[in-house]
Amino acid sequence: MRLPFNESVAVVAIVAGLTYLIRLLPFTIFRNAQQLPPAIVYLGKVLPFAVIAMLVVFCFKDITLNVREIGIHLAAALFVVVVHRRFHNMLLSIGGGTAVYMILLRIV
Amino acid sequence: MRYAFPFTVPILLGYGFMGMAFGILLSKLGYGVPWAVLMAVTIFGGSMQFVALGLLSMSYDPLACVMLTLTVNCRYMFYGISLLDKYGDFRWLKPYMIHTITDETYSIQCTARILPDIDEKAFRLAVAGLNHLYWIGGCTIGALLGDRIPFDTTGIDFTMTALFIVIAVDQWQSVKRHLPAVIGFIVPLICLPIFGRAYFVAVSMVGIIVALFIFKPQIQKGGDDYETAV
Repeated sequence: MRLPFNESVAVVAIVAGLTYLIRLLPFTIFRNAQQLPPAIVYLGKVLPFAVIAMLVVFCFKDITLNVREIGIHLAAALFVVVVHRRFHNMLLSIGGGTAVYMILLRIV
Repeated sequence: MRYAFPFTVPILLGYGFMGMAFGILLSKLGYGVPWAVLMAVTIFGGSMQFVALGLLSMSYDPLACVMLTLTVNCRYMFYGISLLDKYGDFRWLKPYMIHTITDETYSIQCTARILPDIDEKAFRLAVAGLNHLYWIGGCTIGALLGDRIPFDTTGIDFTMTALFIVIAVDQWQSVKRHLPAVIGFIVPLICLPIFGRAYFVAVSMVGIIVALFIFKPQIQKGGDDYETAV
């Protein structure tokens, strides 16, 4: 069941508006990009490394703890790591990894 | 644009199929194509839009909208910190660049090697705009299709996981010391079982930042190559 029109508009407006404010916040606090506090410069440099690693974990958050699911995810992830280290071809790593994952889902 | 497109291909696939999944679910709730387009354009955040499906199907609860948006999307706040100088001279387009910050856009903006003969601003705008278009397209197609989906796409969402793994591998090989990546991996692993799927990202972001400052001496030991690395 969906909400009435007005309430639906309100939900979308709240979510969209608040999301924009969240995205905007650092840009308003640190208006002058030339003279940032050293702590922020430091964070800006090292944070991408930590965040990407976090996003990898984030992608695995929905797997249930059984051998089959964990095994399939780990196997596909390992495939991506090995193939990418070997060939450094983004499409091969991502396309191949997804293919391996989808095949494993169906045959294991 | 031509230079930016190859970087966004995995996102075309990921957003395309994730957006379709969202559109299908939205249409099942009884919302038509205009709603899918509206949400894709104005919210533009994968996980948040899936959460919003819940908000649109229960009874109207503005407080839940506020709380869930804050917890699910607070990570974008920290992405902005790494993008301050990269988005610095966008002038009137800056609000749009800020609006299009997502996990995927952020990871490309932070990691893509932009060759000196490429117009950096045009490249960054193309990445942001293309990703936004992919997402709008995916959501719209999904809403149009409803549940008349012609083939079994279960598992196609792994493209997103693979994209982040590929970027992580590239980052790992580009620097000598890996403590920031290790922190980013371990902190959410600890937080996930303790705080659960709904809240661990918000807690992890805080934990990661605290850890990055605690281990700052070790991370910066021997000069830092993090800037030039990616």
